[in-house]
Amino acid sequence: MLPGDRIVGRWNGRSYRVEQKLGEGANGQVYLVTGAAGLCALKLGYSAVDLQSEINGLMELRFGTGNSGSYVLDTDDVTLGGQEYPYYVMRYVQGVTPSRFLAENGMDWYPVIGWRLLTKLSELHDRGYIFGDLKSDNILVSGYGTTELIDYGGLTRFGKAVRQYTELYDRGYWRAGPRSADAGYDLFAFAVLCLELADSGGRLALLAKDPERSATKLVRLADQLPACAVVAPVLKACLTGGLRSAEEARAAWRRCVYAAGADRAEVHRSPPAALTAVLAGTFILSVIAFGAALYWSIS
Amino acid sequence: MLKQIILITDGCSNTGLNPVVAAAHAASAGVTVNVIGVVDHGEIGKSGAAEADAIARAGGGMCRIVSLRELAQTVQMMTRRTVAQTIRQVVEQELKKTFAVDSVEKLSPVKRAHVVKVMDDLGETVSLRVCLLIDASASMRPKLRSVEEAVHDLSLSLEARSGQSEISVMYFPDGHELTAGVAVPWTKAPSEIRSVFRHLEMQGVTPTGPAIMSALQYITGERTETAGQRELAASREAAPGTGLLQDYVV
Repeated sequence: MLPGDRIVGRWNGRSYRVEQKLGEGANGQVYLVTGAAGLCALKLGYSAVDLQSEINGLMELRFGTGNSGSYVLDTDDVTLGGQEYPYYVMRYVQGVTPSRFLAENGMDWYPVIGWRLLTKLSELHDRGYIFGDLKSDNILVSGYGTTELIDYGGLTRFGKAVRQYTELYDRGYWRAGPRSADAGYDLFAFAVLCLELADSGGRLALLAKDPERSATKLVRLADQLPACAVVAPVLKACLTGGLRSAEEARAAWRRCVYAAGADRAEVHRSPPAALTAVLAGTFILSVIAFGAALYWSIS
Repeated sequence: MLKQIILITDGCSNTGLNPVVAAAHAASAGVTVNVIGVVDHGEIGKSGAAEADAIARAGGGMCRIVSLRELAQTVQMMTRRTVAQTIRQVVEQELKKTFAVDSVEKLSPVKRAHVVKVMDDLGETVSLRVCLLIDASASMRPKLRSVEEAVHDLSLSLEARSGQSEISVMYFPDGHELTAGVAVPWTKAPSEIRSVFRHLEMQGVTPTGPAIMSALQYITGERTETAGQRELAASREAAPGTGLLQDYVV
């Protein structure tokens, strides 16, 4: 489909104008479209069955508990070039991949993105689903680290076989556990993703090619990458199945990040890099400001 | 029970029954034959690719020519797709009777949602038998490690299903026999397989057709394991997790 093309649904008759192609997933292509309700994302499926299966998962999320609103705004078929294609329309999420966001805004945002991701995962887990296919391509970050999951093709009910995954992030591929849906499956993928984002030297990719790959090697990598040193204990726990839930990972993540913030004041006293000094100074000031604000609000 | 044979080969058959005919036999017995052609630095050759494609067509399955790195993923994907397709065929026959439509695509989104949910549930719970049939002719030797890895990868995916899944691994040629030998007898706990191929004697001939027939016999239960294999299987069950499998000689 090209910008300017019109899509008119066969069953519901709603019409959309194609603005641009946003991306491509395992089950189909995603386009930015304008409909009656403004900008939306439209996923055009390759197979009616596969796409419907994805839609079914999303619909269950909508009708389940919680209130994140409707993921699916419309589902229909369209005839393009003499062929029927199924599609569904969802909320349009703006943003860039985490690696691009970090490249543009700096690694200081790393803990923020991790935290937001764990929050998203925890919300899904509370509804009885895992995301399954967690990877850089399926995450969009925007604004002040606002993080959204896109492409729910891997959405799997707890206890079932994971419906869609990517080798690099797959617990089974790393011989670290079964390929069935539990909180630990998403957490493992989350840890690999965090290693990938912290790894500028392509070391993760090398490990992935190693026939002797294992979770132990990933744990070692977590210890070696300076960019993820602060949260390394959480990553290691995620890799070895040491955490029971995303909620638990979230708590551990927060502890590490906050404690590291406090540590930076220590760094200040030893011979510091200029930037560290500035950051630590800023941090101390903000702590003092926070303390003052707290004191003021209490009194 | 859904039954499928996945043939993994790197070239052309050169002796015995035409493999395309053998695949047609399998298809008529309700056994799907999928084919993976593995290439490793070079080509599978025009005739090899054409034969692989024809076997898959006759066997009602799919054919992919892939590099070694993609092998595990391909085996896993093919197994899943075949299950989905077989279920779809069954469901569409029912649709024809009840709704007078011949495909899921023609249903309204609301009906489609229900039907696909049923298909997904069936796919997760139906019992399944997968026989991996490995071309172990001389040129495949350097690729067997990747094949082993693919077996392990598939076992992970199958063990995650709610339905019963069984895997077996066969190889051909079996010494000087044209038929295929059993490297791993039917197992429901495939992740316990440590080593698939040990002391495998590589031969130059590639009797793909007879091998498919052996796999067909094995998957339909027409052929049972030999006494020796039963003994080994028994000793393995008696002492799980010990080093016995390491010495598994095929």
